[in-house]
Amino acid sequence: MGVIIDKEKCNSCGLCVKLCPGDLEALDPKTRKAFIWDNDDCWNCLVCVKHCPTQAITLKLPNAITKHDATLMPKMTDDEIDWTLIDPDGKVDTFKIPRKTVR
Amino acid sequence: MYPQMTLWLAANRIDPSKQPIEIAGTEPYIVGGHCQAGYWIDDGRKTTLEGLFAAGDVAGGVPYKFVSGCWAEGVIAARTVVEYVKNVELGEVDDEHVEKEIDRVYMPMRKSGGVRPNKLEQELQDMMDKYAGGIPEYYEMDEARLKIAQKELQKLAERTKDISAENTHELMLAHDMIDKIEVAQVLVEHLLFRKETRWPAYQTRLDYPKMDDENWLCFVNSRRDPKTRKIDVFKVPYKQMVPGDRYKG
Ligand SMILES: Cc1cc2nc3c(=O)[nH]c(=O)nc-3n(C[C@H](O)[C@H](O)[C@H](O)COP(=O)(O)OP(=O)(O)OC[C@H]3O[C@@H](n4cnc5c(N)ncnc54)[C@H](O)[C@@H]3O)c2cc1C
Ligand code: SF4
Ligand code: SF4
Repeated sequence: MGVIIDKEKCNSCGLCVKLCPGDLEALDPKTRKAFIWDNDDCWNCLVCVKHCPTQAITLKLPNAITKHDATLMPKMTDDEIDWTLIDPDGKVDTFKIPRKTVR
Repeated sequence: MYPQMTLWLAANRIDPSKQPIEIAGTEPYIVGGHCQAGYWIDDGRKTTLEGLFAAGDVAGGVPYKFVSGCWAEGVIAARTVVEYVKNVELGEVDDEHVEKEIDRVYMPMRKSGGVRPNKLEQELQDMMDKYAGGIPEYYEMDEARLKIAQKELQKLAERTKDISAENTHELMLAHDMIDKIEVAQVLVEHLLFRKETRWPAYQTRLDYPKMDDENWLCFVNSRRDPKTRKIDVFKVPYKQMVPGDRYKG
């Protein structure tokens, strides 16, 4: 499993570094852009994908289990997550899931 | 459904409302909150080590607690700790001990060219899968194979002395590895000790395929001697808390 980080979109805020439960993300000391140490250790928990303020991080499935390109992006609002799923043929599906929080 | 599952279905053009999905029973976790393994605790989540408390996956005896159960145990432990610290006097910090700990923790970064944690992890995974009842063996095991696991673990444990880390992330993985091998060693000792099959599909002993209440309706505990590193395994009696026939719901 794993994620892809778009270096162009990354604004170096460091939020993903703070949030990743696996300590997998870090900022490159030279470029200040986020990178992932090892995609093999990523659990696809999606915490970084959901909270990245510039939507620079996308979910990546391992090549072994999928052959086609499809994307799934969450957008967080205060009380729900708006998901956009685009299948390999470009068909777009959206769904809203309420957020459960104990805040 | 997990998000990556949704993406996988879409990426492979599978419509789950039209096409059946293949499923398989996997990963019956022996250690952690899914099962009973963990440190021996009392009702207040105090461990057998003075001043150490355990809650969640590391606390034994309470199977299938999941996330909510771990939280509940955290609250129970916290309440006990609050009472406990009222009577604790702060001790002196031994600087020499602190220095030693820093040396121990950073040692893998001070070496180079040693064995990398990821390599050891793959070896550990493959070996445990094969000899200690992993998924390719359908979680089945027997004494002969467990004894091989015991030997292989000893070799792996010795090789951790050579572990090296190039950065702080790898340093964390290096310590993860050292701990994982230790957990695997304890696990194999427990699997060897219990000569019955109490939890088929989690712990299927091919050489003792039946459940044997006469000898094994008990807990199995262990303790590791910090000096000799020997693991001592022993029985702890089972006490029934809810009266009645325990095999009828
Ligand atoms: C694959 C899988 C799927 C699961 N699915 C579900 C599910 O769907 N629903 C559900 O309710 N439960 C599920 N569980 C169970 C649940 O996730 C766990 O029981 C729970 O997260 C454990 O919480 P914990 O706080 O006890 O331990 P953990 O969340 O493991 O926390 C222990 C923490 O201690 C840290 N740590 C370890 N060693 C050290 C050290 N030396 N110094 C400092 N920190 C250290 C670790 O980094 C970690 O952050 C699942 C578990 C697994 C493995
Ligand atoms: S959260 Fe997004 S923008 Fe912030 S550092 Fe990570 S990738 Fe960059
Ligand atoms: S998906 Fe989760 S585990 Fe993977 S890099 Fe992001 S925060 Fe870390």
